[in-house]
Amino acid sequence: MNDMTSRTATGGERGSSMVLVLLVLFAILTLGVAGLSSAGFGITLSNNYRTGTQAEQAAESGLIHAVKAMNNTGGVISFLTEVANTSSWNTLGMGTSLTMPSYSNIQYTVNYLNTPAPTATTMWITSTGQAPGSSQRTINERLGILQPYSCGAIDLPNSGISANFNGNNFSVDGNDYAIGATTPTAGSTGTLGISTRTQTDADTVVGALSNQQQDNVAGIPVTGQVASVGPCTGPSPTRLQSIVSTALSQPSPPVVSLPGGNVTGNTTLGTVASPQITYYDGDTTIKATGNSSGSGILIVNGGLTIQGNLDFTGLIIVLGTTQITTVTGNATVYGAIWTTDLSLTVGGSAAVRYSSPSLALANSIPGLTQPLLPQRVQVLAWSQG
Amino acid sequence: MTTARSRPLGAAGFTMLELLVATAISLVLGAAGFFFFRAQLMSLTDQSAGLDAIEGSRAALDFMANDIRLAGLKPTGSCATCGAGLSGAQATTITVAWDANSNGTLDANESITYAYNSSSKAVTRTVNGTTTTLISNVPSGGLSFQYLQSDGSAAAMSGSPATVTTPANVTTVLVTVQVQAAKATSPWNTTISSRVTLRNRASALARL
Repeated sequence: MNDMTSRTATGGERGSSMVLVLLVLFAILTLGVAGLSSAGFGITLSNNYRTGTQAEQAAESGLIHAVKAMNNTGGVISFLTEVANTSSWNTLGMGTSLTMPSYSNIQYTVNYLNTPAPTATTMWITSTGQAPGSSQRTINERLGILQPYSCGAIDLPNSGISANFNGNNFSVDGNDYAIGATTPTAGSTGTLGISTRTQTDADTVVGALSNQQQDNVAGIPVTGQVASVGPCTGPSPTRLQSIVSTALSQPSPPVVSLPGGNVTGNTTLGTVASPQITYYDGDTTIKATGNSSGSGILIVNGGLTIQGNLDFTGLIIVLGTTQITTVTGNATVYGAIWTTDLSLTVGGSAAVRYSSPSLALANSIPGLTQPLLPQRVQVLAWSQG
Repeated sequence: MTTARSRPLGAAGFTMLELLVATAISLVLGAAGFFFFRAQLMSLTDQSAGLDAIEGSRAALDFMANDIRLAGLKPTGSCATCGAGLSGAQATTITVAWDANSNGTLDANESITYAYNSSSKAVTRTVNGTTTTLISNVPSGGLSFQYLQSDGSAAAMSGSPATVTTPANVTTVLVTVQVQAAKATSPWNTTISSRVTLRNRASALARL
């Protein structure tokens, strides 16, 4: 009876089941916690790796954005005056934290560096990308401007342009030629044959070309058409005026100012060895009474009509109200023509060949106090901060 | 005595047979539990070691990639002694260099060599004569470099051991690291690769 009473007092439990169950539970719990801890650590590491990569890519995007913003203005003449100062930088839309499109939690900030000090031709920019979890990466790039360029062998900066082509003996070639060469430089990139600022204007030019004339305009291929004609972010008309103003403010020589009118006889407007800036103030016609040649920059404040033989190396800028370039003689231009309107009526032959060396020549005319032509910004060096 | 031996109904205790059977069952269950937990524990250890190996190899790869990417960097635009920024480019060895302090010349501590040490089974990093271990437990053949040109083709190699003939033509390095999980019960290797673009090559800089 005492035994029975004693067993009843323990609640009917026998053996060590509870202890065993607790031990088993403890073991399972320990394993579980260890597993979770390990997995959680791995997840954290992977997440940090992912956000770190996101931040790095955001920083890269920032650099691309900044360089494109500079080139979208048509290029840079001097970093000091056009980029590496607070107001210019803000005008480019840089300096503030920008959000990656479609990724609201990933940002980048791009700034220019004052150390190393920027110069007219080189500067450093730094881009910091930020992603969730305080991930941050910084990349620096050294930028440079190396040589002037033109969007096309013939560039039309105005909107609402008109174009007219008569005859089939003309060639507008955006492939890159050395000065005086008859074939493009092997391996060079080249540019468009004819460039505009908008697709509408490009369509206008293409529409003005007959089927036989389409292949007369060569250069960087444009999808869906034979002629190398397309829109491009080159200098605006306002900037063109600014370039002309700066050019005319240069010492004389190399600036040679002449009244508009007829240019007759054998006229030399600079040579490759001694290029110059020639400025015709008014409508100008180069008559077919002689052989004219020139080198450097030819600016016409009016319409330019070429009726005779002209060999020019460098850049021709045609401004003014008439703004027509007419070719009826034998004309060869190495470099580029920037004109507000375009009318090619070809009786003899005309060849406009894009030539980056010719543009470089035009931008380094002896006696200039500064480069005159905008140049594409290029990345010269890349480093991680 | 007779009264004392008699037991109340339902409290009769265990017979020897019952005890033996119960002990046997307990032993079987206990053994099953032991092996189950041991297997789980080993699996956990393996996974942890594998994770360590993956993270270690990834960290080592990133470390190497960050250096290789900078090969040939010339912050001032000129560095006569920097060369191609890449030298001794072999299958298991690479030396990269760049002008880190922007002084226009290549200093002794601006050249880094990564190599495989077969005796210690480790990837080593040597800077200015000082060698440190980047990651251990790398099996034989666990570090390899492949050198590619801008068109994607393999860079020409010559000599013995084979070395890239023209390092300046190399624009991308394919780095592969294999690490053996240190505490795994059976050998378990993790392999990770990365295509590293030499960002200061003209082809990479002209991406815009």
